[in-house]
Amino acid sequence: MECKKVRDQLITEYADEELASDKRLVIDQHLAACPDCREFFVAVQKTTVTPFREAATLKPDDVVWQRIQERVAKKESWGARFWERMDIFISRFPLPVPLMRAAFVTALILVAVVLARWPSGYVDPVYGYMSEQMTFMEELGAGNTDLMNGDLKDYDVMFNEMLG
Amino acid sequence: MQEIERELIVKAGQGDKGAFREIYQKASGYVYTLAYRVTNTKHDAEEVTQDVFLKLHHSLCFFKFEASFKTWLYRIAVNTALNHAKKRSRVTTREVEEAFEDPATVTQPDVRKYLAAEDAEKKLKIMLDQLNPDQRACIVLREIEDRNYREIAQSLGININTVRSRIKRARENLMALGRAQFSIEKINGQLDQSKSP
Repeated sequence: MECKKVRDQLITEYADEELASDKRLVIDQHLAACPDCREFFVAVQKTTVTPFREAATLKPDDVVWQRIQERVAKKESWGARFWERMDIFISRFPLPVPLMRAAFVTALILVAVVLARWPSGYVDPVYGYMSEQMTFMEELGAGNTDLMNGDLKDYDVMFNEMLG
Repeated sequence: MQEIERELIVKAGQGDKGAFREIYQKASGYVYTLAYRVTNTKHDAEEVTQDVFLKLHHSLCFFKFEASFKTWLYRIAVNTALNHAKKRSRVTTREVEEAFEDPATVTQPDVRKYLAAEDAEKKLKIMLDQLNPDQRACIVLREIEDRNYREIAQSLGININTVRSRIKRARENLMALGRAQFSIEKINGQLDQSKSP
């Protein structure tokens, strides 16, 4: 086997013990006969494997736990808890959570569509306000100023009535 | 990482703050170290640790004990760290891949810093700086977590051949950096041999 092919495996599968025993044996035989590849493998171990095996476990600063606590407390506000509880409720069903969420949202949309199409005597306050403003602007455009300062006019009427 | 009992996980999932704190005390070092090795900065590792434990807090109640808690945790941690590192990266992954295509891109100042670094932790940081986030994640899972190629592929959602090629490129870069140190040690070894009778 060529040294180039052997080294390609020494730096990957051989170093990581991912080779089948028969293939490993071929490499072992090559290593026994090739000092350059042996030296290459020592370099692989020394420069790319050993430093990581000796790596220490680190500890985060206390501030990390404080920040987590703050975020958790914020999350536990009513709105967030509603969705969390909804997730817990959904998780009791046998279907996956994303599927249940999608079903829930679809159901909400369907209800909204049905309600929107349902004939109703309800007048949207925003629509009512806009309609009133449009009428006012139209009257103003036509030169009719009777609707201006409506509130003050009412006070005038009240004042006149009080005076008799 | 210290062993985390099933009862503790269940309690924390039910909202027991004390149990969640205990899980944090037992697992935060593990998560932080993993995050630090993948992101290679203290600030990013802290942010990742915070995100991982917030995800944990949210999803502990869904944990079904089908896989081991540690496996579940390291998958969340490594993927969160990897996404974080990629977002942080100013250059695109493609550009990074191209830059690391050739092991000769290890610069002389890096080699000098590496040789000058006295403690192992500093050396490790310089070594990890030579790798892009994808390579770092593969190397960390292989060397520190002792995962095999199949497990790494599953954890990162990539092909096993991609794992192999990332590990290969990563080691080529690390060898380019360590070559100088290795040569010095080799010369010293030869000198020692010649001195001995």
